[in-house]
Amino acid sequence: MTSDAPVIFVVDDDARVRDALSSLLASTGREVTMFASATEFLKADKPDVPACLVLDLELPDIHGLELQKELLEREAPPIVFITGHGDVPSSVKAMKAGAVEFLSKPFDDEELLRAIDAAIALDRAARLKRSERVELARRYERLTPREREVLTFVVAGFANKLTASELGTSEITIGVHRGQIMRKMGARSLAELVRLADKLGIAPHESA
Amino acid sequence: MIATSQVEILGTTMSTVSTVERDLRLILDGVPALVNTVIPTGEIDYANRQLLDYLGVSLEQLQEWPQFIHESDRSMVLERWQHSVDSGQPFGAEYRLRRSDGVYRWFHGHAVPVRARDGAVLRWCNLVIDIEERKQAVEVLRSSERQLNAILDNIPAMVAIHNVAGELELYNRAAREYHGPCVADPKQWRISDVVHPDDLPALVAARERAVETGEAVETEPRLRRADGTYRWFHVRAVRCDDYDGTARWYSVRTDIHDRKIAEDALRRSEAFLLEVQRLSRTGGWRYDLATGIVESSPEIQRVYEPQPGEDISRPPFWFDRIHPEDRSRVQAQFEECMREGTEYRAGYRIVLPDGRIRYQYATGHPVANDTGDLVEFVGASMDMTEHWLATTELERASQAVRDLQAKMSRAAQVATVGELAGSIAHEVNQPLAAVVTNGHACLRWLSASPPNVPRAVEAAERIVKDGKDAGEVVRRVRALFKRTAVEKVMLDLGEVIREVVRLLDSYPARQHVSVDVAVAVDVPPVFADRIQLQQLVLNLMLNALEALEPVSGRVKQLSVTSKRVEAQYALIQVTDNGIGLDDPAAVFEPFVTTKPDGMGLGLAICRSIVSAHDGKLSAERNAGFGMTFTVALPIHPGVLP
Repeated sequence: MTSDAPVIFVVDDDARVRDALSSLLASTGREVTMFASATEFLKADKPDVPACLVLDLELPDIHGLELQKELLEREAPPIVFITGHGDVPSSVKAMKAGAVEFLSKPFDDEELLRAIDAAIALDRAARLKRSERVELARRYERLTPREREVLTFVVAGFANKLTASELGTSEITIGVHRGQIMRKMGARSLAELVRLADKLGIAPHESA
Repeated sequence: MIATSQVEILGTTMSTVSTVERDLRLILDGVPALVNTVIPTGEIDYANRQLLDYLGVSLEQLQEWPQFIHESDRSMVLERWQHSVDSGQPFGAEYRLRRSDGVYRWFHGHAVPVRARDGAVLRWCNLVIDIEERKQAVEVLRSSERQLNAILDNIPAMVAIHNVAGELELYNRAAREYHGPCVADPKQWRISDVVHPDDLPALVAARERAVETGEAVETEPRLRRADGTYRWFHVRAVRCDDYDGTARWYSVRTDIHDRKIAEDALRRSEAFLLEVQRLSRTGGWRYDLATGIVESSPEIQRVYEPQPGEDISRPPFWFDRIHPEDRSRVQAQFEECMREGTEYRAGYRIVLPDGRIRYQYATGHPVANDTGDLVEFVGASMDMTEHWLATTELERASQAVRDLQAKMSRAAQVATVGELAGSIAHEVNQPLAAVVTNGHACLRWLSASPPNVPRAVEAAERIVKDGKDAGEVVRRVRALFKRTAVEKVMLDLGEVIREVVRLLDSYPARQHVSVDVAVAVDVPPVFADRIQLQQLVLNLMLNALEALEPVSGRVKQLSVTSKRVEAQYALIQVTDNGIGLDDPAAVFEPFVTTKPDGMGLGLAICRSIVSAHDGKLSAERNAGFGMTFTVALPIHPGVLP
């Protein structure tokens, strides 16, 4: 996360549409990158910023829905479809597959911009979620195996004494581990630690 | 004959017996036989009166006795006599003796020697008895037997007589020759030796039946010939109590082999014909004009299902079966053929007693006698029901296929229209979307603070360009339907038609199509664009040719005519007998076509050409096959009277 300035990717094979969109989005101060085909878009190096993909449904190389399917498996930006046909089955498919909006050409500028902003917001949230998870994972990496073991007891609500007896060690040692865990994970409270562990998908210890 | 004088010798030695001798002679003279005695020297020493009288000779003359014996018997008698004299054995022979009047009669001569005590022959005593009557009787018998045998042997049939035990008593020559060595010894003959094993049980059963009923047996067994082959015989046998009180079987066997084979062949041939009639569902009939009697084959009867009480030998039965709608037509046709002696051919339905309908096709051929008078009709009636049903079924199936094809083609057309519309929409939509978006951008650039005029101008320029693009698309689409640069001149329709027909001469689809051009002379010129009218006629003809392409089973016909109607209209009519159209009204709509690869624009263009000439274009289905397209063009007012 070097910069938070979002970018809008437009994929449309019609230069007239690309030019018009480029101008419209520029007039609102938004950053736009144009692609004439899906292949071009997939190949391009894209900046690591919140983004949105404005995708023409009828592309000469790959159909918009196909591209959407392909992008689902990557951390790709949310999609706003634009189409000259606007057939219902395609729009239903697109929306089911997670498209933000499905707009028929010609479309209203406000409508498009709303959809683009919503998409960028979604992407921003997704990116945040992704970066949080990355940071958490980094913190968890710093725990010793023993501390990770103790963490499962802590998040399961075991008292230090019980944990110590379970692990065959002293209550004091468990207290030290607990302090280290809180510090390394950057948790200010037990509640926060439990939330972080949950985000990391750590299963609480289950008493026998 | 043996003469004897022993009596005399006795007389000389024993005078006392002279009286006895005299008596004896009287007796011998009275015996109804010829008697004489012969002494060893060969001299006849005694002959009775009967002998001398018969021959009409004296004893002296009798010494030359051989001359009285029939020439044919003489040597035999002399030979035997010599033998008896030499051997002392009794003599016996039958021979003919000449009577005094020259007539020969049969006699039986028998001589025995009279011996002395020492065994020496003293004298031969000869007794000669007239056997003429007996001989004749035997002869008659023999000749009648010969006659009988000749009759039996000459009968052109095999005759056999068996006793009740089955032993053969007689075979005539035909039977002997037929059976050959196997009956050489009749006592060894067994019935199974000559009768085919398969036919034996029937023969035996028939005989048993005959014994019970006393009637004649008639069977047709195969009998074995000398060469081991079997032939068919007709055997008729009766059992009779005979002259001697014994029962016998008398049988006559007639060779029916060839007839039987012919009959079998005929039967097979008849069965074959019946089968063929059955298979071909063709029955035969014959109508005798003089008697009015109808003869019919089993197959035709099977089809017409006559009921008890119906007289199939008369025409009314056959006509009454015909469907009421067909009856009078067929009857009239039949009667006309009878009258004119012409070939009869008719297809019609018959209604069976239970109401079922069958389809018939009947043909008849007039038959005349030697003097040329029509005497009868011989014909065949073919049951076409299955054929008809199959054809109808086929017709229905192919109609269904055609309907389906039409639907599919229509569906494809709809898809094509949809696709085309979609692609036109897309073509127009893209620049339109760009125009709208650019418009928004333009406004935004202008409403920015400060307004970014250069960017707004750029956007506005793009609006103009994209708008032109959209206009170009619309223009291109419109161009599909409309021609430009119409140049109207006074045109002779006939000339236009002939030009187009000439143009099509080498067109592949035109081959195998009979093109008929009929241009009326009273059609005045029309005021029209030559190229457009040519295109019009060409399109209509191409349409017709394409409609004719799938046609088979009839001559493909296309006719182009021009004529004048209602004074102010010139008509061009293009008629084909092709596959036609279901909805003539729809064909002028754009994108409507029956052609799998057509765009559906040909007739739409035609219509636009015609309306550009203030004319009318109509289409209608023909009564038979295909379509007729009619172009009505107004005649130029300048040429109207």
